[in-house]
Amino acid sequence: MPQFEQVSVFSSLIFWSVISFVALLFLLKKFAFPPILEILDAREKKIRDDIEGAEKINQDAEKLKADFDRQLKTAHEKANDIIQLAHDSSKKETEKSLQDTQGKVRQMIKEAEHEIQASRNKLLSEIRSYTAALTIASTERILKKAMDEKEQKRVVDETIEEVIQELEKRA
Amino acid sequence: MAEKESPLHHFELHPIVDIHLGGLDLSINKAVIAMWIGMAVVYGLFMLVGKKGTSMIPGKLQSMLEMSLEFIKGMVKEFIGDEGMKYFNFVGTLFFFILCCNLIGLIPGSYTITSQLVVTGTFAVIIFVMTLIIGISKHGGHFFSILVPPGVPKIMIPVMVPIEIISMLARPISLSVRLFANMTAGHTVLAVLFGLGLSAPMWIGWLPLGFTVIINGLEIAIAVIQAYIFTTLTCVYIGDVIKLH
Amino acid sequence: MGQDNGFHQGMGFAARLGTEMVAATLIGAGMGYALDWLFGTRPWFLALGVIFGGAAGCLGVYRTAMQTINENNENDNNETDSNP
Repeated sequence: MPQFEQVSVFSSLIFWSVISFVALLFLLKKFAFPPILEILDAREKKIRDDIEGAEKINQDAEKLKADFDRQLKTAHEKANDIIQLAHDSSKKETEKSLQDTQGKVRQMIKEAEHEIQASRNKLLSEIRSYTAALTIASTERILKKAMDEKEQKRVVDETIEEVIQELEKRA
Repeated sequence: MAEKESPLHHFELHPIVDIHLGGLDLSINKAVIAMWIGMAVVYGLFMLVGKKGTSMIPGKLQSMLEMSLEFIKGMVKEFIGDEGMKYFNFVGTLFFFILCCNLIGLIPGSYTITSQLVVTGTFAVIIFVMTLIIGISKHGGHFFSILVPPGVPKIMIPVMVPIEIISMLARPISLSVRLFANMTAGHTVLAVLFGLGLSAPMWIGWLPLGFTVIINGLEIAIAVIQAYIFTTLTCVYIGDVIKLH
Repeated sequence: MGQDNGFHQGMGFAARLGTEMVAATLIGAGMGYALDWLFGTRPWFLALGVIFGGAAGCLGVYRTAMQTINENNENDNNETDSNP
C-alpha cells in the first residue's frame, strides 16, 4: 500500500494538512460561523419571544374577558337592584298615598260631622235665643197693650206669625 | 507496468511544487491541492451565504448550512454539555475539514487526503493530546482518577490501570484507522471496478462501470457518515475527560 | 435538537464498539512487544499485553453496553413518568 510505503510524502502531508486545518479553523471561526450562529440564536429568540408574546396577549384577552364578564354581571345585578328598588318605592308610594287619602277622607268626614254638629248647636242656640226674644217681645207687647183679651190674643198671634216669618226667612 | 495495473497505484503521490525546508520534504502534491480545493468550496459556500446577508427566512443554501451547524451544536451540547460551546469552532471545523476532504476525493482524478493514515493519525493524536490537556487543566492531578474506574476494589487497581491506559490509547488508534480504512477501502473498490470496466470487452464492461456509479453514490454517504463519526467521537472523548466518569 | 439525543448517542456507540475492541487488543500487543524488546523477555510481555488489550476491549464494549441499557431504562422511566 503506497500509504505505508511512500514515506517521503508523509512530512509534507502532515505539515500541509495541519497548517490548512488551522487556517480553516481561523477562517471559519472568524468569518463563517458567527453570522449563521447569530441568525440561529436570533431565530430561536424570535420564536420564543413570539410565542411568549402570543401567550401574553392570550392571557390579556382572557383577563379582559373575565373583567368584562364581571362588569356585565355587576351591571346586571345593579339593574336588578334598581328595578327592585323602584318597585318597592312605587309600592310604598302607592300605599302611602292610599293611606293619606284614606286619612284625609276620614278627616273630612270628621270635619263635616263636626260642622254639622256645630251648625245644629248654633241653630239650637239661635232657636233658643229667638224663643227667648220672642217670649220677651210678646210678653212686652202683652204687657204694653195690657189688656183686653181680644187684643191679647191678636198680639200673641201676630208675634208668632212674625217670628215664624222671620225664622223662615232665615232658614 | 505491473505496479501501474495495481488498483492501489492511484494512492501514490508525486510532488507538483517542490519545497524542501531544512531537510524536510514539504512539497505540494495532488493530495494537498485537492484538500485546498475542498476547503475553498466549504469556505466559499459560507461566504456566499455571508455575503448575501443572513436573513431570518433562510434560503436553500443558508438553511443547509444552518442545519449542519445546528446538528454539530446539538452533538457538542449532548456529549460535552453546555460548556462544550467553547469547543464548537474546533469541532465544527473538524467536521467540515474531514467532510470536504472525503467528498473532494470522490471526484475522479482527485485525491482523498483522509485516505492517508498519517493524516488521520495526526488529527487523532492532536485530539488525544487535546483531551489530555483539557482534562489536566480542568481537573489537575485529580484527572488521573480517570484511570481508575469507580467501584473497583483496591486489589484490582494494578490490573485496571494498564487496561484503562490501553483503552485510552485505543481511542486515537481506532479513530484514525476507522477513517483511513473506510476511505481507502471505498476508493480501492472504485478503482478495481473502474479498471474492470475499462479492461473488459464492451458488451460486459458496462456492468462494472454502472457499479462504479452506484458505489460512488454509496461512497458519498460513507464520506458524510465518517466525517460525522469522527466528529462525534471527538466530542465523546472531550466530554469524557470533562465529566470524568 | 431534542429528538436527536438518542440518535447521536447511538451513532457514537455503534462507531466505538467494533474498532475500539480491535484497536485495544492491538495496542496491548504492541505495548507488550515493546516491553519485550526493551527487556529481552520475549514472549512474556507480548502474551500479557494481548490479554490486557483484549480485556480493555471487552471492558469498553461492556461499559458502552451498560451505558446504553441504563440510558434506555432512564428514557423508559422518563416516558412512563411523562405519560401517566
